[in-house]
This record gives sequence, structure tokens and C-alpha cells, in this order.
Amino acid sequence: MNPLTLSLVLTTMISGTLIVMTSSHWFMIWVGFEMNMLAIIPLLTKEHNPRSTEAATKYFLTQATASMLLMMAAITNLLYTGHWSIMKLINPTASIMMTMALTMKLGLSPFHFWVPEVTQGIPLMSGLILLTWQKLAPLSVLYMIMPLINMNILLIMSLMSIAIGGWGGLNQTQLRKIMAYSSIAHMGWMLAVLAYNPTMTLLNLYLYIPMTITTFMLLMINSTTTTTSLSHTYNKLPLITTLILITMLSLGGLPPLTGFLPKWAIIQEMTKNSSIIMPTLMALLALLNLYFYTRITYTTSLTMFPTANNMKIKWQFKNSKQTMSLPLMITISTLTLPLAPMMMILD
Amino acid sequence: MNLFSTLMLLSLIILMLPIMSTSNNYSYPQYAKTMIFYSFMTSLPPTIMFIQSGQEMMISNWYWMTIQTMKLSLSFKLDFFSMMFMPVALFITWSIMEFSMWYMHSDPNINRFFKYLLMFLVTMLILVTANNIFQLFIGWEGVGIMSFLLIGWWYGRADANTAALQAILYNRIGDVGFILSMAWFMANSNSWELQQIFMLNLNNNTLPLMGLLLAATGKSAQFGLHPWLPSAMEGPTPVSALLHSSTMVVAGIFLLIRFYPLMESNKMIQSLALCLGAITTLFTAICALTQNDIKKIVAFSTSSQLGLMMVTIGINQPHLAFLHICTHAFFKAMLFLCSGSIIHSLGDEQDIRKMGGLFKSLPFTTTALIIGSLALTGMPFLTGFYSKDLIIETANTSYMNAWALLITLIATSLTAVYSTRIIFFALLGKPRFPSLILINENNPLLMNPITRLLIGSIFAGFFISNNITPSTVPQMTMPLHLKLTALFVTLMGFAMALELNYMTQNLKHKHPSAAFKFSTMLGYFPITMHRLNPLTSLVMSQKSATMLLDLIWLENTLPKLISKIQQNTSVMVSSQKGLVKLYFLSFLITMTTALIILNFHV
Amino acid sequence: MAAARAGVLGVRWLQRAGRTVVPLGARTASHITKDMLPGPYPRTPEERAAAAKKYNLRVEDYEPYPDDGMGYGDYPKLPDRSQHERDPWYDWDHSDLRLNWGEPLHWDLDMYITWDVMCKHLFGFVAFMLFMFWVGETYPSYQPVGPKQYPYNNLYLERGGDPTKEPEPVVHYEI
Repeated sequence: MNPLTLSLVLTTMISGTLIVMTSSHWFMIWVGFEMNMLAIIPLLTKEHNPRSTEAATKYFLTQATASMLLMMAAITNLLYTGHWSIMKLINPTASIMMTMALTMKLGLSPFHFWVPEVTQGIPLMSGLILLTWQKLAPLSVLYMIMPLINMNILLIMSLMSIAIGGWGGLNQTQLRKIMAYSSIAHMGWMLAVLAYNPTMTLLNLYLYIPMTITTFMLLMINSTTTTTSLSHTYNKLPLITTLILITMLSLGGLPPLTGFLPKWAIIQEMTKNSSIIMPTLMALLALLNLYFYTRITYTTSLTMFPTANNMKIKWQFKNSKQTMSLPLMITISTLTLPLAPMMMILD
Repeated sequence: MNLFSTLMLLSLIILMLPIMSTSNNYSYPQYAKTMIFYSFMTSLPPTIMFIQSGQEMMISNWYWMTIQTMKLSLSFKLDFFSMMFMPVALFITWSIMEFSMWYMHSDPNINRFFKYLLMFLVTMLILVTANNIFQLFIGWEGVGIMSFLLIGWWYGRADANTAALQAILYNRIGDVGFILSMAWFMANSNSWELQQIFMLNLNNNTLPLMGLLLAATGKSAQFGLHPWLPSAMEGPTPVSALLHSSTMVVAGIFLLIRFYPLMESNKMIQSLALCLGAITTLFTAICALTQNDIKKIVAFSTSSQLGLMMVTIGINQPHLAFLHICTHAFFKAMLFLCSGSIIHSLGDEQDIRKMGGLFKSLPFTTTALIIGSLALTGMPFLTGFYSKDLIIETANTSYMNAWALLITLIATSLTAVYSTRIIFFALLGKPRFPSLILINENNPLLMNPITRLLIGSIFAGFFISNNITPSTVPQMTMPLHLKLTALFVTLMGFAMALELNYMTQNLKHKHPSAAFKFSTMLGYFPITMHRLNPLTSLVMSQKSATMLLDLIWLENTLPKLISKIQQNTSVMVSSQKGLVKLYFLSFLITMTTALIILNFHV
Repeated sequence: MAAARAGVLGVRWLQRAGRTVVPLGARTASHITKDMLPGPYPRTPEERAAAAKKYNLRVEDYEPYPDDGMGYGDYPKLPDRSQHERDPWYDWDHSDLRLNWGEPLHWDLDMYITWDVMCKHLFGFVAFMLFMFWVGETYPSYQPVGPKQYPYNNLYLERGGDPTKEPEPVVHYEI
């Protein structure tokens, strides 16, 4: 892609998100969403092949629907209250529709169908943007209208997301799809706690983004998209296997790693609010996620897949990919659990 | 105050002396025997006093302990049963002891053997004289453990060990019932004293009585728990004699007799006892028919007589059953001593097919054996007649289970059959044993006890039944055919057995019939039960451990089920691709549903 | 130095020897050695003949158990007859087992007759007894112990006696 175009596209995308985040007027929010969506379409179709096009189409259809729904919710509210302000979303119908629109943009169950399919169709870099940056705008709006949201629908959707994120990932060998389902599950965790303590949602988001970035960067080094090819990592870059192992366990939320922190905090927060069954179920369903993360670490670092390649170690070429921020990202996404006391300011 | 209780206690204390003294003395057997004789003599005056005055007594002379409101004390009940039983038991043990001095003279541990016999007797007397269930239980268990030691006396033989183990294990099953009853009485009547239990006469006492019946079934070898009794023949003959006549096996019957005030009013237990006794007496008589081991035949006849006693208890005649215990003891002990004499003379040959013609070589033993057999079958005016005839008569005139009566009569006639078989094969005809055998019966240690028991077998019934106080009103009138039933069936048995024995003496069937096998193999009971029960329990344990616990519970219900569910859900959730229209439809449905439900409900 | 070397050699020799030596009395816990167990199932006629010879049987008498994995191997399937059915007067080498020397034992020697027959007979007997006890309980035996006695001179008139005649007085008791 032309660097000039790319920079234009990226700027539009970023400014779209920023408009959404800084507006308090539904119309402006809608405008921001549309800008963001239209700008990302070229990014999705960076590789000119039918799969990216299909994925971009799916993305466009879903996001456009969501935007329209958002507009409709805003107008319904306008009819009811005469306000465009996002703080005055007091009509329940409008509130529900707004929630639906935003969760559709986030890819929460039952609006999750597009996430794995779109992610699978696009390049890793675009996937990275799709699963991280694109979550910011809808989440910020949800954060702002949080007091006006129907809590039940949010909890039901988040629980479903966690479950489907786990189950869907079990059945996959494609790494991008696995990451998509992982994203669905994480979104579920974020929205589950939104009703109780929105700052926890932000905490989860802040930690989810580095972890996802790390994972995608690790995959990008070898352009790995399947479990089988991941199992060859050891032949080429032995160190990466260790890093994938530890990042995956962190994503799964194992205690000494960063990923444990949001889960811990969320479960604690919900328990403090006398919600027992919900965090129990969430924790149990998180095991499904952990299971397929563990499976990836297993195939990566603990077994040798049967392949035609007899060489234990291949010639290791100097890697030409830019992995400048990888060490930092790995550190953030695995070693920040000791910072937990600092997170207490979020309370 | 007379010397009633003093002499009775003295009689018990005399027995303790040989037990406490060391037994490395050469003359210990003589000493032990003499002590039992003294004890017997000492116990006679109180018994005569009792017969004269009918005065019952209770000695409670040692306060033991109190558990909350339960008082335990050592107390002796000197009533009709214990007063009559003690001299009989002592007399018989005296004879058996003397006989053992002859029979066991070459045994290196003869002193210990005598000590065991003595302890066996003492525990039996404790059981008989006990006034509370706890003391009774001590006697009960003592009899059990001593029988174990005595049956396994020749512990070098695997059979003897097996038999001893069988005896103790079958008795443990019975003890379950005993302990159940003890627990029930403690919980419900708050006392183990017999008087208190009888006085309270609690309702719904079926459960403890069932327990007692189970205990009696184990101890007295009633059907179901009987296989240990014929196996117990592996012990030395004096042990068999003591075990089968006056101790151990009658303990079960005695227990039920002790508890007759409770059983009297419980029809169900009586019916159970009746049926149990009837089936035992028939079954064991059938088993006795085809045995070739002389001791086994006598053992089965004991079992059959015990069944008869149980029948008597079943028709609510405990005093009659007790009378039968006393008379039975004499001739049964003598039968065993006679078979001991024969076995010893023929060089440890027990098979009646290899005897024959002993009436020439052992005339005295033959006399005793024939008289004992006749007494066993209830020949008029021998000892057995006074109790057995009365039992059959009472059963005939009672309101009772017709089938139980019928098979009791059949068993009575079978008694005559197997007695004839012993007489016919062992005593009559031509000798079938190797010629070079030193047969003699001139040792006074052998002659005297048999003589005494012989006199007892002839006259004891007359004496006892003449002297005891009548407890229940006997049936005064009855038709002639009822009166003669017992005699008639016995005579029929004799006649048939004689004919059959003559017929089959030289005739051998190529293949035995099914009925013959049933009888020879003791009704298949030991084989079947000793295999079926362990098999069932092992199979069940295996099933429950590996199938139920491991396979179903630990494997299928949790791990496999969970993984199956996750697999299926996972496939269901994610095995579609590109169905955009359906996705949007699902969005629409979700939204509509959510709007309807949440908007109008919450 | 030489002593140390000799010591090392000695230790090595001991280790080698220790590995090769088997304790003299070593045996299995079950006391069954390899050659006491039945051999593999015979498949060819030659193997059958060899197995028959091994068990002192004629080839036509030899019939192994079916090879269904129960571990019978080449053990002969003898007729299901009890030892007790054999002639007791024959001069057997083992009179207690009624068995000659070298004669193979039945695999289930302890089974007298077939198990189900034994069970059927025993439980049949018990069941029959229980049933008959029930019948006996339903129709109990109660024998009259004396002739029935009635008042009024044994119901003289009621039994159609001649009222004109004076009946003989009947007295059922004696004082």
C-alpha cells in the first residue's frame, strides 16, 4: 500500500476513534464510528485476495448495521427526551438498542459470528488492529453510558461470550480464529464487570491489549497462522517457543503472570458485590480458554509434530521483521502481576 | 438359710482349681477328672434340695460396674434349668474326661487337652448359670473359643484347622444376632438382668428374638449355619463327645429356653423356630443316611436331635426341650465314646464299611452302642423315650404347622434308619477290617465311663422325668394312634432300614442317583454356600469398585461426560462459516427478544 | 597405586558376578514354574499328538479347551465327571482321589457335578420346604385328642333317640 494512503487511512481511523471517545453528542459518536469503519476497510483488504475482500465485506455489513442501530437508538432517545447527549440515554428501548449496537461492534455473543471469520480472512497486522484498537471506541462509549445500561442483558451477553469464546476456541487449529475467540471471551470478562466497576473493565482492557499485541507479534515473526506451523517454531527460533508458552499462559490467566490480574480483580469485585454464581461460572468457563491456550503451548514447545522435516534445527537466518517493541510487550504482558497493588488505585 | 447356694458355688469353685493349677504334672488328667467328680458330687445335694423344695435362687455376689443407669453385676441364676443341667453336664464330662485319659494317653499335650476340656465345661456352666445377658455372653463366647481350640487340636492337619475355623466363623454369624439382641435390650429395657427383661416384657420384641434365634441357629447348628457341626468331627473323639452332648451345641437351644418368657407370647418367632427346627431335623437326617464315617453319622444325628429340640421350642414347650437336652446328653456322649472305642481299636478307622462283626470282638462296646442307638430312636423305657416320645406326642396333639409335623415325623423315622445303619454295618455281619488289629476293651478307663453312661442311658430319663416338677400340663387324653405314632414311625424306620441294608449290602449302583448325591454331598450346602457367598461378594465388590466407582463414577460421569459435552458444544458453536444472512437473522431475533423481554418486563 | 587398581578390578568383578548369579532357591510366589503351566494351544496335528503324549492321553481322547483366551492352553478337556463316580474298589494309585499316577486331573476337579445342578437341587429343596411350610401354616394340623362330648346324655333326643325310652346316663367325668 502506498505509504501516503496508508498514513491517511491510519490517521482517519485513529481520529475516528478519538472523536468517538471525546464526544458527548450521539451524532458525533456516530460520525466517529463511521470514519473509523470506513478507514479500516482498506486496511483489511491490504492483501488483494478474495478472502480479505470477503472478510472486509462481512466486517462492513456488521459494522454498518451496528452504526445504523446506534443511530436508531440515538434517534429513539431523541424522540423520547429531546436530547442528543449521551448522558441522557434514559429511554429503556433506546438503551437496549444502544447496548446491542455497541456489543455488535465489540463482537460479543450472540453478535460474535463475524469476529472469527473476519479475523481469519485478514492479515495478521490487520487482525491485530481489529482485535485491539477497534475495541477502544465501543468500550469507551459503553463506559460512559454505563449507569444507563440494563445490567441483566449485559451479564447474559458477557457470560455467553465467555462460554462461546471457550467452546469456539476448542475446535480450532487456526491461530487467528483462536485469537478471535480469545478476544470474544475477554470481551465477555470486561463487560461482566462493567456493571459493577467500570474501572476494572478498563484494567482488563489495558492488560488484554498488550497481551494480544505480544501474541500477534510473536506470530508475525514467522507469519504463523496454524498450529502445525507453530510447531515448527522450535526449528527456527527456539526462544520464541518459550515466549509463546509464557504469553499463552498469561492469556489464559495463570497466577504468576499478568493475565491473572484482571481475572483475579474481576472475580474479587463481583464477589464483593455478592455475586457468587456468576464469577464461579466465569472462572469455570475460563478453563476452556486455558485449555486451548495450553494446547497451543503443548504443540509449540512440548511435542514434535509428525512432519516431513527431519531436521531438528534449521539454519537460522537473521530475522528481517521489525520486532523492536517485542521485549517491552512481553514484559508487560507477562510480568506485571507484582504491580497489582498499584492497580488498587483503580478501585 | 441352707447350704443350697454355698454348695453350688463350691461346685463351681472346685472346677476352677485344676484350671488355675499348673499342668506340667504327670497325674494332671487324673487330678482334673477327680475334681470334676467332686464337683459333680457337690452339685448333687443342691439339686436334690431343689427337687424337694422347688426353691429357685439367685446369687448376686459381685458388683461389677455401672454404666450410667446400667448396672452390671456377677450373678448366678439357680433355677430349674441350671439346677438340672449342672449335675448332668458334670456327670457326662466326668465320664468323658475319664475316657479321654484312655483315648488321648499318647498325646504329648494331654495336660493341656484336659485343661481345655475343663475350661470348655466351665464356660458352659457360666452360660447355664448366668443371670444376665452379659455373663451369658461371656460363657457363650468362651464356649465358642474353646470349641475352636479343641476342634483344631490336631492343628497339624489342614482339615482340623479348616473345621476349627469353620466352627468359629459360623458361630460369629450367630454372635451377630446375640449382640443385636444385647444392644436392643440395653436400649429398650435398660438392663441386662434376665428378671428385669422378663418383667418388662416389652412389646415389639420380634427383633431381639430374631437375633436370639440367629444366635441359636449358629451355636446349635440349625439349617443354614449347620455345616460346621459335621466338620467339627475333625477334632478328637472326646471333644466331639463333649461338644455334642452337654456343651456347646445345646447352648443355642438353652439360650432360647432361657428366653422362653419372651418367646411364649410371640407367635411369629415360634413359627420361625418350628420351621427352622423341622427343616434342620429332616435335612441333617437325610445327610446322615448316606455317610460312611461313623462319627459323621453320629454328628448328624446330633444335628437332627437339635432340630427336634428347636421344633419343641417352636411348639412352645421349652421345658420339654430342656428335658430332651438332658436325656440326649447321656446317650449321645455314650455313642461318641463307643465310636471312639471302635475307632481306637481298629487303628483309627472311621469308615463303617471297613468295620463289621464287632459284636464278637467288642461285645461291651456293641452293647452300649446298640442301647445308645435304641435310646436315640426313642425305644420305650430307655432314656430317649421319656423326652422324645413326649415331644412327638405333644407335637401331634398341638395346633401346629402340618408340614413341620410331617417332616419331623419323617426325620424321627430316619433316626431309626441311620442308627440301624451304624449297627448293621459296624457291629453285625462279617469283619471287613484287616485281621492284624489289636482289639481290646479291658481298660477300666474305657469301661467305666461307658458303663456309667450306659446306666444313664437306660435310667436317667426315668429319673429325671419322674423327679422334675411338672411345668406344663401334659396332654392327658389322646387317641391311640397319636400315642403310638412315634413308636410306629420308629419301628417302620427300623424295618425299612434293615430290609434296605440287606438288599443293598452287596449291590453297588454304577452311577449314584441324584437323591443319593444330594445326601452324600450334604445337600450340596457347604460346596454351594462356601463358594456362592465369596463369589457373590467378590464379584459385587469388583463390580462396585471397578465398574461403579472407577468406570461409571470416576470416569464416565465426570471426566468423560464433561469432555463429551465440551466437544459437542464446541462443534455446535463453531462449525459454521459465512452464513451471513443467518447471522443477521440471529442478530434480529436476539434484539427482538431482548427488547420484548427486557423492555416490558424489567 | 597397584593396590587401588586391584581393588577397583575386584569391585568390578563383584558387580559383574552379582549381576549374573541367581539365588539358588529363587522361585515364583505361586510356586508355579513355567513348565507346570499348560503349553500353548495346539494347532497342528503334530502339536496335538505331542500335547496328548504330554498329558498321558491317547490322541483320540485328547481334546483341548477352546482357545478363547481363558488361559487353558493345551490342557485337555476331560469329561465332566466327578472323581466320586469312579469305581471305589479299583486299586487306584491315589485312592483318595480315585486317580492313577500320571493321569491328568480335570481342570475343575473341585466341581463335583455341574455347579448349576448343585445350586438347583439345594435351592430347589429349600424353596420346596419353604413353600410346604407355608402350606402347612395355612392348613395346620390339629388332631382331636378325645371324642366330642355333649350335654343332655350326649344329645340323646337331638340325635333322634326314642323319647319314650329312658336313655343310659352318660357321664364324662369321674369323681
